[in-house]
Amino acid sequence: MRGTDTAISIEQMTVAGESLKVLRGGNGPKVLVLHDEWGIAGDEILWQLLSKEFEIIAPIAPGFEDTAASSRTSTVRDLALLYNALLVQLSEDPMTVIGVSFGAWVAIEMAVMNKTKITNLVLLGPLGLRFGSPEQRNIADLFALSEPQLVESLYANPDIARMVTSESLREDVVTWARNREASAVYGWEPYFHTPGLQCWTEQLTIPVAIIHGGEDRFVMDGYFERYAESFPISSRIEIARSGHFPHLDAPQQTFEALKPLLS
Amino acid sequence: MQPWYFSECGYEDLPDASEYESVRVTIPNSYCDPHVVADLYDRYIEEWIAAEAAGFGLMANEHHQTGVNLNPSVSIVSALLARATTTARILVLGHQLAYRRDPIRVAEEMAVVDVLSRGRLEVGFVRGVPSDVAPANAQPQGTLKRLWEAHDLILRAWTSHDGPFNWESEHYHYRQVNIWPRPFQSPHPPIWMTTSSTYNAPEIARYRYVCATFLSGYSLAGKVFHAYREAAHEAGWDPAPDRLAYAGMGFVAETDEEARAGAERMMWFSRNTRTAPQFSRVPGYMTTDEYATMVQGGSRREGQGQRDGGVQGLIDNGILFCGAPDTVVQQVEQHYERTGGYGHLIILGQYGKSQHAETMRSIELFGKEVLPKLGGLGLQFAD
Repeated sequence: MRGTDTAISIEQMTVAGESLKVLRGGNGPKVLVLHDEWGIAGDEILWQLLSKEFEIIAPIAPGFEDTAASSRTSTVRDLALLYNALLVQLSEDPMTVIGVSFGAWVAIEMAVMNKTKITNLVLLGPLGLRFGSPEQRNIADLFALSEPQLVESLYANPDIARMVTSESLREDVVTWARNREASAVYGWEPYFHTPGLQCWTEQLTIPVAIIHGGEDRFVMDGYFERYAESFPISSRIEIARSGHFPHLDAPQQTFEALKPLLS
Repeated sequence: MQPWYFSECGYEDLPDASEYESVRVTIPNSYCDPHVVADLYDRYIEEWIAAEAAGFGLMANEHHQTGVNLNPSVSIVSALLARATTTARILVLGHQLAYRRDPIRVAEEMAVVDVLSRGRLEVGFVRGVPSDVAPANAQPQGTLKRLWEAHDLILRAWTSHDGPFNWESEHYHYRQVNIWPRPFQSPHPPIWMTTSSTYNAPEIARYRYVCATFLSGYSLAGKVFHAYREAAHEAGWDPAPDRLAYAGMGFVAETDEEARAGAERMMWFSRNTRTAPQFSRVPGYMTTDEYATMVQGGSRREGQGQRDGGVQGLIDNGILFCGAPDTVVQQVEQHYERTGGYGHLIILGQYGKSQHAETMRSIELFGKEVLPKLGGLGLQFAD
């Protein structure tokens, strides 16, 4: 894994007939980690912290990174079905699912369809639900913002922004471009949410923890409060001086908030 | 050679580019005075009518949420041209099929215009430009697939006369398709498509449709035409020049100097407006490699740099035909020779800050002193 000492292995699995690339590493109880709409570039810090005490299982959504787009997996619901099949294949025991931003949307879609394989959800800067009137923009338009506007909306710490955006641009622009394309496939319309999903999240009987930045300008004010209210058993932790990706802006604080939720 | 007159119908009184983020998609319509637009519509229709008198066919297009083009519906503008003119053929180029959620509506509207014009309509199906993705909120992935799927459905709707048929494809779902009226021309109006790349030309050739390429200069136009002709030959048919079309900018005046001054005014949009990069580089619209190249500041389109020069550069690259009548005849002949030839010449004759009087004069000079001398072109390929 780039820039860390964690040994991560790559497995090319076949799940429900679909080819799926899965990254695995660390030791301990299994946790499923679902990446955000920018791919896995920002997840390495999270993996590094988690892998000391947990076994990370991190599938790559078809179309992201160096994987091929799939005609049969092109919606978040398709992804949720695929990952639920992955859980069945991986372990008899249920596990925690961690989802970051777009990955959190996938996680809640999984949970509403899966009563047996998920113990709890831990959601970092989650997307996937929508509130308010048609004119209320819940989530900034990722595809209509200039790069400076994006950085401003996503990050509290501009140095972190450089790591995930500009630095990635320099290192591997084709992968960056492919990730943007994949995020459009899954998130273009409806825009990073599933209409009516609250009807089902309100029926969930597992705990849902939401960790979000106190300076998240990517979503509207009050978004995470309403998000947390959409689940019967939920908690919400705000990380100070952090934007949309708390594990990037404040890794240690985020890990400390996250760790008790996994034990 | 069939000449066509094309007007972008822009809003000439745009503010300084420093006042807005992007002339496409986000420029507020507070800058748009509907009284000015009403006068502009009158003006542009008058120019189209003059173009008919000069011997041109008439071409219209559409774009959205921009001051560069005031036609958000090519169906509407073609319908009014059908009633405002009597003899000219009318070319819709085109419908942005990949962005339209209801292709049956396109089939219906074009059937109406074909009937209104008593069979003078030609219909172009295009994918759409990147900056029209956001106004339509169209999924940028899979645009070519949707274009052809919508095309198949429209063709079926135009040619089906025995009551409703069923259509449930990947993107379009109808169970009772039965359009009224049906097209005036039988089996349907001639079909055009556009491309700026050699890899789309063979598919257009497979259907024997007219293949148009816009502002692509000598080099790229020649390659596109070659790819089309080669694909046609491989498919076992021999295309005539009327299967190919070139669209360039055109401005004629009494002298070369006057024409160049007019062309400078035409270029105002190109030099004085800007489009925010996020609306021109849309993920999924192009190949991953092309997108990555654009993100790094490059151009995805071969020959894009050809458009960056001044008036002389545009003339040198075969994008602008500009000068006194004989100069323009010579430029078109040279373009025809160097690209291998084509049967349709589309002239973008009004753009930017072109003034009405000089545009009318340019159209008149085209009609009297340029088009008659191009009669020998378009009958056979130059090569």
